[in-house]
Amino acid sequence: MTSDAQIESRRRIADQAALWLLTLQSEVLSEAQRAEFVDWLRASPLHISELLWACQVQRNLAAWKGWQHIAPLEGAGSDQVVSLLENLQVGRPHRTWHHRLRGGLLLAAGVAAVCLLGVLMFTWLGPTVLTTQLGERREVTLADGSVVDLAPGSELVVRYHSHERLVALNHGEALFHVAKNPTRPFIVQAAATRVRAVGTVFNVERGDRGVSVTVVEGRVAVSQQPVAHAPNSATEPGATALSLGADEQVSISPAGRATPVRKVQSEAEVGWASGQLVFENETVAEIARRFNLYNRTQIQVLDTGLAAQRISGMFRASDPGSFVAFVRLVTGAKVAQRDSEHITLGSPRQNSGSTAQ
Amino acid sequence: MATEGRGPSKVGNWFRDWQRPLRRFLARQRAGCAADIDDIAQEVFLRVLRYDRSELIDYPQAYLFKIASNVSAEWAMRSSRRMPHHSEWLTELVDALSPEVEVEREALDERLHAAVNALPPRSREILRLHFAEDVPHEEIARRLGVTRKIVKRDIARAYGALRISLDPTLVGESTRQAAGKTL
Repeated sequence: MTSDAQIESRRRIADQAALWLLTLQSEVLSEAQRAEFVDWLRASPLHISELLWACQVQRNLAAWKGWQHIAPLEGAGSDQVVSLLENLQVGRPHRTWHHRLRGGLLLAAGVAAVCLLGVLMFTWLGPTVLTTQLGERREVTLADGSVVDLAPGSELVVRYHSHERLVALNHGEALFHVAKNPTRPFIVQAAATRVRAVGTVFNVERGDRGVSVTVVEGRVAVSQQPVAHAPNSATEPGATALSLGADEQVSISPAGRATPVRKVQSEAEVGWASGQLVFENETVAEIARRFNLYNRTQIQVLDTGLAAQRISGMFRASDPGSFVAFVRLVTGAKVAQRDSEHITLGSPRQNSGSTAQ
Repeated sequence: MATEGRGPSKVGNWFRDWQRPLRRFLARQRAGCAADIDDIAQEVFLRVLRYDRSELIDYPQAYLFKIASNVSAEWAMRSSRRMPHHSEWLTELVDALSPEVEVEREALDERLHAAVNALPPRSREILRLHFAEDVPHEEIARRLGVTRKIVKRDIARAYGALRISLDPTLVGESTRQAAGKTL
């Protein structure tokens, strides 16, 4: 039996949750508000539960056909109705009342999840989030006809406005085929780096080592800008805007320092979108990490010396075995362990440990 | 319109793909498995904690959306493994209402009616104006001579009250188990 105190506390959370729902739906939240909301969500699963309930209540009310039977406040005879109903409004509903309520629970729970997606998607029309899991590559056509190839383990948030097309790369890598529209520039934000294009093909990668932009076709403007100011000042090219043409690449460190523009084989750089991985003077650790994004079979590099060795080569993303064979050939590394899901690479200099064979 | 010859048929597909797990999830709920909002919320909560706080703050709604969608997708997947004979439910859409669902809907309508009538008069009027007449919050505030903030607060409180009166779990475990049998 749930106690009155528990119900009361649940009720308080329900009020808070409903207030958040309404706020999210009617206002653009400031960063401070978003932080407050996130902290509230992270404080208790009950908060999330109540947010779902609030969605569900709202959904039910919106779909409800019974409104015509509810008298307006100032309508004739409403006073009577009101006083009668106020009497009904006792501290706690009667037990039998609850018995009658039971049937709808399962339906309610199901509706709630759809509601969170449905209602929130509808009302928070702004951002659309595209994600890929490990091993998943995705090609998505956006509303304006632009096409995005999303590498595994990536996340993209799309916000289209009338005057610009904003895309935030939260992490990972994406190749953009931008549909031409000179009046509505296409802007990719990755950390503090913004890439502005009108109609072109370019690749943006965002990882631990910063952001890398590669142009395949056309021209883009790359600028640095604090993320906090991003959403509204999007059309202003930053003071340090850099123009990048076909087969050119620039990398920006997390600290915001850009490398000189370099010439690259852009087709090789964006080979991942067609299942090719190309590495030039890349560490074994980094290459293994990339393969692991694309495959269920995970490569693990035990030896730090081996992990730091640099390799160049071109591989099929779906074939980690070919990379392992290549590493063994080039570095003399040994496969310490191998099963259907793991390949562990060890150094040849290592004394044979318990797992070595 | 400028699809540039690259998979124009894919426009909008991802959106449908996105929703499919939810529909399945809903269908599964109707098939009578015991899982409720608290369970879903618990799982969403655990995943929210796995994210970096600052990352969440960038786009909290979007993250929440994504997490909830993943959770319900997995829920549906688990249940389809456990109950293969219910697979016909999994392809059914929300809109395709069976007679049983129709009965449930009617029961829900009735409960809503009682619950809405039990609200304080001003809250009820605000809800009515908002949902039945589609009056914006500002206009409701003006008509009732209160501030916008009060309108919002009243709606929030009304949701809270309705939520309590629509949730049978709050009366205890025994009735909840009985609830499972009724479906």
